[in-house]
Amino acid sequence: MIEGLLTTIARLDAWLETMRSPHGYTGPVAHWWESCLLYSGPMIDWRYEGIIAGCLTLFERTGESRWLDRAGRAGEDIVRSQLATGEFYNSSFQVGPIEGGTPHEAAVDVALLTLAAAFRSAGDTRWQGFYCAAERNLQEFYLARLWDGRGFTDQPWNGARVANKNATVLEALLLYEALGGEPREIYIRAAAEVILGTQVAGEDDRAGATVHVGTRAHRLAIPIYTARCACALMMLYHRYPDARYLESARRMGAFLLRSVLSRGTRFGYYRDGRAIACPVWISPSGDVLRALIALQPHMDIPAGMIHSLAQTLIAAQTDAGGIPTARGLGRKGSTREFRGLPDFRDLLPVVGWCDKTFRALALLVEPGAQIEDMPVQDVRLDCSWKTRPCLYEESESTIRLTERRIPRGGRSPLLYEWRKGEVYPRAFDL
Amino acid sequence: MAFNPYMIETHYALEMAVFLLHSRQPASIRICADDPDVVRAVIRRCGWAAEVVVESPELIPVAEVYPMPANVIHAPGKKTDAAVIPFTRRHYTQAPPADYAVAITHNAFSYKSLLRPGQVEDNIVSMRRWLAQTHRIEQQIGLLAPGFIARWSLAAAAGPRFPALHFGWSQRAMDRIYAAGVGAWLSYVLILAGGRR
Repeated sequence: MIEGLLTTIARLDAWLETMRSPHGYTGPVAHWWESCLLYSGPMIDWRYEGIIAGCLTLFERTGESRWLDRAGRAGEDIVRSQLATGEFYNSSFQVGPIEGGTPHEAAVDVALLTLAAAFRSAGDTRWQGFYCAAERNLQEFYLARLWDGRGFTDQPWNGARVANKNATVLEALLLYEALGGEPREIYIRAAAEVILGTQVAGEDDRAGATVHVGTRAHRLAIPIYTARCACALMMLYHRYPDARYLESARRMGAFLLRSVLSRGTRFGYYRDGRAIACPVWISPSGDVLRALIALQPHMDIPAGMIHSLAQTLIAAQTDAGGIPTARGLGRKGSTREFRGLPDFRDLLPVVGWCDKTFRALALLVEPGAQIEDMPVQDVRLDCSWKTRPCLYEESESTIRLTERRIPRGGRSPLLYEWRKGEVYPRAFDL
Repeated sequence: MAFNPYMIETHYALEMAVFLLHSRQPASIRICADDPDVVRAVIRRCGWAAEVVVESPELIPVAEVYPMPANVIHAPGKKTDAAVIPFTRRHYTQAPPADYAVAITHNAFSYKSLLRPGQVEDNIVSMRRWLAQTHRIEQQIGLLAPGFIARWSLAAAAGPRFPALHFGWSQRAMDRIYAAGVGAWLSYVLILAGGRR
């Protein structure tokens, strides 16, 4: 067993509990595209995918019923928050509070269907509620509004067919079929063609990656999204053993191996092949780790590589239990390695990223392991905001950012304060 | 112009406006808007409020699509703890009788009038005068101020040919999307807030 693995999972679980409100998991979002630092209330987005899958894996490995209870409670959050349109409440993650987020709606379907399968196996009749909620979303949102005959579009008003978004729908449809849903092979095969069609050919550093076509002329190649495609293709290959799917996933695996760095994983590559040095992802790297674990039986992935990435994530955990998001988010897009104090957004642990680390680390737990409860502790870390030195503080109840120097003009040094579980911060001067 | 909840100036303005509302912890909020899309955009952010008052009975089912807030009513003339006036202040001769009001409007004294002269109908001076009739102006925050537009323009000029510059400048712009002081006077979108006189 990897050293510190169980402790890290226990503390991550304790941290996730601090982020709950009666309506679900809350918290601000730091991301490459944009950050949502004001609205911090419940969002039914891809955070549920990692939380539910991670809890179910831990239930399977440890036999402890609390993990099944945690997963069930998360499923109830989702069902309670489904809208009449079939979409999920505030599912757009970094975009902010609005329904119809992609791939988030499909990731929530994956969560629900994985949960439904587990509950059905356990003889719990609640599985039908989870299954029906996912079916409704797939029918009324994905098939009715995003399907364009050749794949699933980003939004009804945005025709981009993004590989990782198609990959997540593909996973949801495979799970739906496996639970006895109507045959969806036409949609599944088309989504797979979208993925294959965006894969970079050749032998350069981008080879094997999927291009994020939503970035238009920038044509960014982004490992965490490629990782999600690789996981979906492996799932597809087990259902439809077409050699093209396996070959494509292996090429993605080779790309992912090149993206692993000593502090996390590379954000991506520009279309001219230059590596983007800022940010380096930390907690989002959980999806890369998960993909490497899924690919390992099918290609040469050194065990040491998986071990080392897992250790990087374990080492990044703060005493408050969360995993920082990145390093270098304040220098977004730079091709030079970042040195200096982390940006506030780097340190900020985000439920919708930490779930990915939680899920991947759970896969490394050996059967029969026992996970003891761990308390979270207060942390105080140096960071910066717009080059100003700041202090990041996190406790069980609060995340706070203050300037180290007293500002001129009588302004308060308090830049940000969010009381966990609340919908907006109490202080915001960013 | 049709309301688009995804536009940068729209959703960041609503975020700041509802943050200001939330900071006062009002139990009841009036949404001064009759466009269902605008009401939806505010409601999604107001799940924490005990009661939301809308401007017509037809808007109640629009709001009730969302699991929160629990209580959405139509009560003309009812005094609420707070009110939000999202891009609609020109429909009201005065701000509603709420203890705290947050209004969002477009400002003609901004870059937009250079690009499209005469198209922006409202401006900061008349907006301040309007709100000051009933409320003390305690907060004035602008979006898309000249500092933002300069950085955003550099990002656009860099484009995909110079992607590192493009993403770097676009982030510097976004990190300065909210402006106070002089910048707010020249912002395209303006948020004014304050307590009742």
